[in-house]
Amino acid sequence: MEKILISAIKSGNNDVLLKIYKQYRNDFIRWAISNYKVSIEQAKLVYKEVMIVFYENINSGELTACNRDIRTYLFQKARVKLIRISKKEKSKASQQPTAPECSTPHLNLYLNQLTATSKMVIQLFYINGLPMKEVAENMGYKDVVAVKKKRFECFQQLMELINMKQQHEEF
Amino acid sequence: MKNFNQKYFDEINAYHFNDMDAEERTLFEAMLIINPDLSDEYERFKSVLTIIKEEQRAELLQAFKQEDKILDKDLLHLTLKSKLPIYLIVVAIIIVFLLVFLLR
Repeated sequence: MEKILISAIKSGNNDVLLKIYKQYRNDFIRWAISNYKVSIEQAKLVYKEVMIVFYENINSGELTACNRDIRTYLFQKARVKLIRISKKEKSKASQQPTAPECSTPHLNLYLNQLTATSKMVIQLFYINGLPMKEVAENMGYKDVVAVKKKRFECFQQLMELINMKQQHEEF
Repeated sequence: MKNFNQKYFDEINAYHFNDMDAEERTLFEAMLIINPDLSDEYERFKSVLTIIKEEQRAELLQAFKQEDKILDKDLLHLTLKSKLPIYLIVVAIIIVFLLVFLLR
């Protein structure tokens, strides 16, 4: 079951990731608060960070299957972060509690300005890290050469958007 | 940022994603040293990759945030519990003020 979910995420299905996010989120927060004495906001941020790590590890190929289950994987990944926060809080108990860092990068949303097909090609190659052949199969291209051509076009479109934004900022 | 040169693009992808054999890699690395256009393109390629990854991360965090609105309703009791001491202090202050007011 876990393998199927991981493979779906690797194929670019972010709905599966969101489903997992929803499934374990509140259990995680309750667990983090009761075991590590962190605040709700801290627990929420740690969960988000761990979900991003989970997603990136799947895409980089580092995580192909969980030894136990996804829940255990997420909770184990969070443990070190929670212990660190908990220790920090204890050491400065008199000070205002701080939330862990989970920076939201600036949203330029270049990707959302591409066509749906171009965005998908970029996502499958550069985010999900799928090989040419699989992208061709997923997107219904006849061969690898056609996919290479499309990838170049999409990357060029993206570059043009970035160029436009940079020129606009210079003026 | 200039646009990409198609001639280099496939080679850069193959190199960056380890899709070259040892000999091809060595040759490409040598080209990176002697060809400033190629090394410039490779740097630009990496910076676009960074933008793509950051945007994806931001999009995911945005999607999580959307879900949080619904999920947070189930955690309301935890929020109240964590703020209980503050509420108790506020209530105590109000009671003290009321008592002072009534006794005057």
